[in-house]
Amino acid sequence: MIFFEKVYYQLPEAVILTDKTHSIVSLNRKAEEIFEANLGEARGKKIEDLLQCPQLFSLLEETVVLSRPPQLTYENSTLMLDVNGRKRFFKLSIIPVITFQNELELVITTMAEVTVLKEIEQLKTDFIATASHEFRTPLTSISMGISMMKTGKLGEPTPQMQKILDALEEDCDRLLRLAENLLDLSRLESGAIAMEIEEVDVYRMVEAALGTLRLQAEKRDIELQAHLPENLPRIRADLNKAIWVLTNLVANALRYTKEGGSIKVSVYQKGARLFFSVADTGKGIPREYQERIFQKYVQVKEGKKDAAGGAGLGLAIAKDIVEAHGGEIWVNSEPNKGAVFTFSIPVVRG
Amino acid sequence: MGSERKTILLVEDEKNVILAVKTCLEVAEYKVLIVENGEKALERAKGEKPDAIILDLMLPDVNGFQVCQQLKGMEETKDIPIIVLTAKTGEEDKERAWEAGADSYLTKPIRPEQLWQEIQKFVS
Ligand SMILES: Nc1ncnc2c1ncn2[C@@H]1O[C@H](COP(=O)(O)OP(=O)(O)O)[C@@H](O)[C@H]1O
Repeated sequence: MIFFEKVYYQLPEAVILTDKTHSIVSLNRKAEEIFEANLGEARGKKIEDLLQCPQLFSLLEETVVLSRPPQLTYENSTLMLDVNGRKRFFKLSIIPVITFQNELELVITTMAEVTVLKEIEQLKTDFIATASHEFRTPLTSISMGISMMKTGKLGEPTPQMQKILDALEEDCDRLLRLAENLLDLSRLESGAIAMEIEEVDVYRMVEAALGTLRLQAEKRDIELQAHLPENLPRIRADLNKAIWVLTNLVANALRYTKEGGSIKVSVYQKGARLFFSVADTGKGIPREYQERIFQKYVQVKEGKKDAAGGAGLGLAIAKDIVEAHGGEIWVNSEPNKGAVFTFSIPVVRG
Repeated sequence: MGSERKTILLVEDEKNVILAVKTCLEVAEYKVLIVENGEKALERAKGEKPDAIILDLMLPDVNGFQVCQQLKGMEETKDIPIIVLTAKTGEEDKERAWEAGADSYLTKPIRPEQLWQEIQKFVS
């Protein structure tokens, strides 16, 4: 027994034993550190008198009342505590010990410190944001330089030069898209950009999304049409993010559809949702990819790569955004005939 | 077309960006003045009264928001249109620039046609 007690005392996780009145029965060394109290002082005291943490307290209460482990999620099981004036993060687990008579005897709470992980996560987010911004300055001189040479006003480029300039411009756009996607994703994941839900007029939203892409479609000789029935209700959405999703789906459709093809955007209502779909006549998406394509970094691999692709982040971001609205996104596709991407967003209840 | 060339004051500290933007403006027949920090921007703007100012927000001395505010606060320069051209893409930055009195907000990188169009809105 003494052996086990030693192990328990020295564990790197904090272990806290409480009874059904939430009084401390035992603390190991790491718990003493976090509580800033030794076991002698702490024993018999209520946990809420030792630690200001309503989040933990309500989970313990749930455990005692229901005599079962609480429902833990990523959010509610991560605690932020102020220890000695420093912000520290802990991952929580709570296990009730039940007797044969079905009585709750003890609650074992363990807390594993994840402060360093949290800090690294934050560093990563900050780094990506900075890097993405830093890309913009050199991209400005590169892309402007290319455009200036392409105008011919600095001297007519030879056909070979023209070809190279076109390629450079394409890759420049690709770099920019990458930098933008990374920034958007890191912002979304860090929760730095909150959703700003308002009542959104879908006619305005579709127009804003298509506006910038019409010219591109025209240049590539692709027919781009929108079909919106009259009297569609407003949706509950973050306007800019909803535009982002639709713009991205249409931009993808443009990218993966050959000259002479067509793209159709339609909006329809079913129950309490509006469905936005983007149908193209492009190369389509093989069946085995149709679910995976919404994961980060997943791209359809086949034959030679062209400069069209990015980092496989666009659809992952779109999915994050749509789901944050309480909607869904999916794709139907018959390979080589085209793809239909559809997402839904709840309407404003009248 | 007017007979006199219009003057643009470019406030920017990155030398490669200066080259690109300057070339872009000169091709469109603008006369381009260049300063690389906020203090000189105020001085030059007062002295030369350019037809428009293109202003970066991340300058080595004072930040661009302040420069913008000061330009809009001085009698001699308050009517000169200010076009912000920046790598800052956040909504907060845009908001701050409006508050500081900017007339237009463009993010880097930018296409030459876009820049020409924007300048034409203010300088005719
Ligand atoms: N409309 C489409 N038609 C065919 N393939 C598509 C279409 N949209 C997306 N894809 C495939 O899905 C992959 C992931 O798309 P996305 O997440 O937007 O990233 P990216 O386009 O930047 O690579 C693409 O690389 C492409 O293989």
